[in-house]
Amino acid sequence: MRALLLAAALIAMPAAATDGPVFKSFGSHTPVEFDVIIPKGMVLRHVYDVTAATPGKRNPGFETAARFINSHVANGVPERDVAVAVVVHGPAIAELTKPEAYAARNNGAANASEAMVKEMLAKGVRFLVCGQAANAMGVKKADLLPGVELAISASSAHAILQAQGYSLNPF
Amino acid sequence: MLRAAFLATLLIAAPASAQDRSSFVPGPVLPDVGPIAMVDSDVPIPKGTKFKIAFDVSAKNTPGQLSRQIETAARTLNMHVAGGVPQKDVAIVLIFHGPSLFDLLNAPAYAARTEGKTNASADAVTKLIGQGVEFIVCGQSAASLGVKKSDLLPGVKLALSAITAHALYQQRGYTLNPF
Repeated sequence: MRALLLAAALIAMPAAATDGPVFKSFGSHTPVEFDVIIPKGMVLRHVYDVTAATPGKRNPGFETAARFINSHVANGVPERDVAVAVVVHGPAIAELTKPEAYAARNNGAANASEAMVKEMLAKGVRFLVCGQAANAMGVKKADLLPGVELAISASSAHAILQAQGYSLNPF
Repeated sequence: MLRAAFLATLLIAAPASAQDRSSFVPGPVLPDVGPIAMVDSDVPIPKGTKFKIAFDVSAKNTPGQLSRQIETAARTLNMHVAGGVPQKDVAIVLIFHGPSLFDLLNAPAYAARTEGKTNASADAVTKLIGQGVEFIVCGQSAASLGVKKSDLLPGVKLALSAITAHALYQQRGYTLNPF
């Protein structure tokens, strides 16, 4: 389906989507002749806020974080100099849960974001879950995919990350 | 009173709903506003961390209801103090613009704009101000909504604009909460 869509996109002749270099099967980006220089040696620490769940497809909020990494590494920023965090509150928390916990909450369905989240965690992306929202949704620590972190709250996680020099993505 | 009854209903109704706060407990700073969940956190708060958090509030609240975002600010204070951060190290400012600022009106000003309803957020605002939380109103919004300084609850501050207040507080090291 996605291949078809990509093929259609290529025929239509807009700028082609490029895969990788860090994540090959998601987080594609397009080449840009950019004027905004990334100063040499700059470390990018960036945090996203995600609440919406997208059952049946990869969470676009999570994927945007992967695209941030792919596009910067593709343009010469060393991978170790791109630190990305995703603060998650609200329904999107379910998409960070283990298969059995996800299935139990979604009539047996599989979590379409799971493989992407695991790959992002393996590459050092941090997923921080709002403890207040998790509690209100009945999601326990043991329900979360290994490596996903639980915070007191989303506000708390954002305050800590911003104080540590992470810039907040405004959309 | 109404809220207590509502909570009691929740407790009787038992869990299973998507948003179930029946396990939430009263917080240490404001026990009757912003109940909290105790969390086995993986995100350590470095010792000596001084939180300075700014909230942006603009959405119109349903007349007669406690503002969800004012309650979030109370919860933020409660849960960090419960989590071991000294209260003096949790500074919170709420910056209001647009119709949300009706939640900061005193009784007569609120009633005049809501067909005689009572401001259900007033008690929480007064208590939060008593604990050092700051409430700032956009002067441009206030003017366009016909709200005068004398209409505001005691202790609420008027700024030139919400943009001014956000810029000033971020320059002072406040982090902006994104929701």
